[in-house]
Amino acid sequence: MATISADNQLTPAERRRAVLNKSGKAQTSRLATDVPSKVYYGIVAVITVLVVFGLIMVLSSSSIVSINNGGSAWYMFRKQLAWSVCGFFALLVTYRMPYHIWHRLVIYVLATGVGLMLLPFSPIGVTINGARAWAEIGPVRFQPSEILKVAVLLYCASVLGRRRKEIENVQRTFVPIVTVWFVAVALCMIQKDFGAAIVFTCVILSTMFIAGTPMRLIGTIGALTALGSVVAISASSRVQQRFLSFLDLDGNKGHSAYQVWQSILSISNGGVTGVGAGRGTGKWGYVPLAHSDFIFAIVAEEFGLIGSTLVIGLFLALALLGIQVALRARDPFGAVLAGGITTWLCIQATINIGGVIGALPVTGLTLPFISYGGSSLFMVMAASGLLLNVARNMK
Amino acid sequence: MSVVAGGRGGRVPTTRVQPRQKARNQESKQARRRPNAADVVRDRARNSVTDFYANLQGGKIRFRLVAMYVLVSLLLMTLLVRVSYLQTIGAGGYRDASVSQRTRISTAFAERGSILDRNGLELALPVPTRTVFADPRIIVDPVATAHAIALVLGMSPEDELVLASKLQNTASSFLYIARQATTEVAAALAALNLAGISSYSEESRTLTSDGLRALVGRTDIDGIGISGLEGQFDELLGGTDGRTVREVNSKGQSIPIGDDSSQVAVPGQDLVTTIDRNIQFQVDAIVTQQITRLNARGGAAIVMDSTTGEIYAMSTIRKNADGTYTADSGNFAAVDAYEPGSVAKVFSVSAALNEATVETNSVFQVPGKQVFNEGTKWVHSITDAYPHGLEEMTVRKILVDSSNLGTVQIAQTMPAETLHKYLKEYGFGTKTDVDYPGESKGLLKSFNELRGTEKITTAYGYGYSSSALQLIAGVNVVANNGVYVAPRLVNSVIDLNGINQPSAPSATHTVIKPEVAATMRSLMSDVVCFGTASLAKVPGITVAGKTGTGYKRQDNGTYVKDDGSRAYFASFVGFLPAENPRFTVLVSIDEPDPASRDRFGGTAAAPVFANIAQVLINELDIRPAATDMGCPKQRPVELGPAH
Repeated sequence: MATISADNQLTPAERRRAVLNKSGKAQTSRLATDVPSKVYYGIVAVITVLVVFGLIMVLSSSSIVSINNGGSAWYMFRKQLAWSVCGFFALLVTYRMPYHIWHRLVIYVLATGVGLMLLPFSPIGVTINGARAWAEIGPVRFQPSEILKVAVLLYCASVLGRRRKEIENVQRTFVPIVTVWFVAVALCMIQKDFGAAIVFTCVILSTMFIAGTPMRLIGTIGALTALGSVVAISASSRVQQRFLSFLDLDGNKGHSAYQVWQSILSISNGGVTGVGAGRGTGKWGYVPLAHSDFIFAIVAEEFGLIGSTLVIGLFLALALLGIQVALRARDPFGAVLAGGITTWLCIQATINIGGVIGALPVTGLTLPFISYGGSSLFMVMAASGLLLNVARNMK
Repeated sequence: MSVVAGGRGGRVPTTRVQPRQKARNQESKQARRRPNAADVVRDRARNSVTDFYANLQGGKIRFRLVAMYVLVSLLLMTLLVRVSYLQTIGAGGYRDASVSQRTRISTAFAERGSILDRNGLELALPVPTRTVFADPRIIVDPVATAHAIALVLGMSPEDELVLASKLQNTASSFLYIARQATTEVAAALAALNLAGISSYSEESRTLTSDGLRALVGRTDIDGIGISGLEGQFDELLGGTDGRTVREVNSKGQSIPIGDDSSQVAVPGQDLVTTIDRNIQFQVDAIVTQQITRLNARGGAAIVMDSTTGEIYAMSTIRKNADGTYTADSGNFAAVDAYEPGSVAKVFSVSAALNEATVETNSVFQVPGKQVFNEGTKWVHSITDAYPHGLEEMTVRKILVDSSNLGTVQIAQTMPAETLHKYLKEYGFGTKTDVDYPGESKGLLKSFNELRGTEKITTAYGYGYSSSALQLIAGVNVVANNGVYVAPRLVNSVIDLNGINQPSAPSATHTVIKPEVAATMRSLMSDVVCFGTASLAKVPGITVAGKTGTGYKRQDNGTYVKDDGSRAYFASFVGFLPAENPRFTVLVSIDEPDPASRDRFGGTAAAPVFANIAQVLINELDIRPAATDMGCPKQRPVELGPAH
């Protein structure tokens, strides 16, 4: 009894240390003796809310499509739930594994990622919405570019972190990263997955920027990207229409801007307080891909401005916390990794939401954590594990 | 810490880094166990977490991370601004578009009430039909579809071509194929199983007798009353359409969410008129028969309950361009106004009797022709209907023989203003309480506006005009013991609970004394027994009435047509039984053949009265009073010889 009352007077950190001392782990794990910071808990909270809210929204927006496909209303939700459980274990792994190990693994991961990118062109490849970016093995369908995203991010962070002092050395840092970037973007273009190409470009640019690459080099990539985009857009009127239709929604609402027009109708229909959970109208066949790329429209309709502010606010919080982690990381690799992951997630969310609300072209990107899409959720959670790992080890 | 500072931003020129690193690697391999101080410092600077973190505090990475954070936050905030706009002040138009694309409102048409006769028999009633329509977007083969439809509907090849071209217009989603088709036709079309052809039920309107058209009026194809009683009581009969509101998905299927603001249709109420369907039908036939015989332009008859003002029949028949007679042109008995002519002598004589300026046996010296206002611009000569010299006439004889000049003399026994006042009391110059759509109020100038001989001619029914409804209501004052009773067409309304809600009784006011009315009735029965209306006699029962033969005023302002012929307006207003009247009947024949001998009130209209009286006697079991001795066998001496 005396022990318990004594325990009660200890701080949580002291109590934790006492427990670990008893089990003998205090000596083997430095982490165990450390108290996680508020930033760490903040990220845990943000990720938890995003994933749980995402699951709810997937259930709300996918059930109609699930039934129309002839199955149970829960079909897509159950798949997403299974992926989130897997994602949770991936998160645990990336969180528990000392992140320096990735320095040694990253080249294999990258090679695997590039190899997987070829799978969609094999017989198990699947074409969705014009992009041959999926591979299907039995009941599991995944998008290799999601794996490659994290692999490229790890690679960039590793190279830029390790060779921080050679950051201005074109041969040592710029060329390898540009090569990886070029391969990744080329693979995406072949798959006709323009959204992923944009993400790779953003990931590379943001990691290079964070790591301190001179602006002239970043500018070179930026200029190349801009040039490539202009050429790609002007080459095909179809692409042109797709990328420029958002500028005149009213005029194109019948064809190229139909999706965005419908999505804006849904968002506006939500108003401030929303129509209520599950009562959205856009998902009844009006907003295409309401459960995946356009899930934000359903969030905004069902939960109104409150819901959309929550989602955008969570990403803002993630940006704040993630950059905090990067600023306080123990080493350059951790800093670039945390900064890169944070930037990637927030930029992808920006591009997705921007497309949904008609502020940017529609690119076919998912909304991280929220959208239906197993491999996306899995890899986003794995990346979150890395972020938490850095957060747990920060100064 | 110079080494550390040098490593901060990696600003050492790249060309120098590589050789140095290679050298260091070789060095460390060779002398791993004996590192010098510089190596230790460098090594710590490279690997120490603490030192990296210290660098980060003021280094490039820190600056760039913060810059990145600012950039990402600004982007997300921009999104938030746009979303806030879309969901608050900018939502309006988009929200409306959203609501309208998912909302389908269909009208549940209210069943229109029936129009019933006084016994509850239908006059006008709703009939279920089906309207067949096409959705050209779904039609597979427009030409074949059009051909199949044309075969069923018996369309001409031209119409079939038009239909085929309309069916090819896939921009349209709705096209009527057959509006309000009979269920048989709709079933035949449905049996073809054509893609894109469907039907819905709709209500059309039918009459139980074509003769009712003039009185009952019409509904348009959408079931809205546009004329006659249908128009007058449209609100009551029409009910309130309901609406079904549902929300649909992108394929038009109902979705299970959404607010249900549907409204059930409230059916219309039934209108119970004062019409007796059997009598109306027979009156229609009698009028049609007579005007056909006389090749007249038209004819009208009204049967009115003398004491209550209820109209039992109101028939208006007109000749069509093709020479047939139908009742679908309009209810001219209420809408058209004519100069009442000799029938109006009833009002002059009754007024003078009521004012006691004359008695029935007062004697007047009546010339056959008299010129009034000689030497003024209003010079006007008046003659009697039959030529005669200066003749002594009693009031009774003047009325029985319908002497214009005699009536003028009777009227002149009182101030002209008095007669004018009586005419207003008799209901002229104002609409009757029937308030039928388009009803005429006639034309009775105010006394001060009367010019020239108008003050004189009003005595025998010229210089003012009245509708048939006004005229019958005026004469009915005599039948109803001197009390004016407003005519009416509606007895009651059957409300939605099936309860009969009776209308208020007709308004009444006294015009002449009851004994004057009785005297007038005896005078008017003499008109039938010995005067101009002998063809109105009904065997076994005494009837009373007054004929009128007028010239219709022409568009050229005279009473002569441009071709020199005259247009006659023959009328008769009477009641039966004469002593204690139950029904007042008006008959008017519009423009009987001017060459016919039977163009006068006594010959064109009076026989119709007799026939209608027979119908009333049979249908309503009217019996003569015990004191009713019929017409006296001997013509009274005071009436002089018959003409």
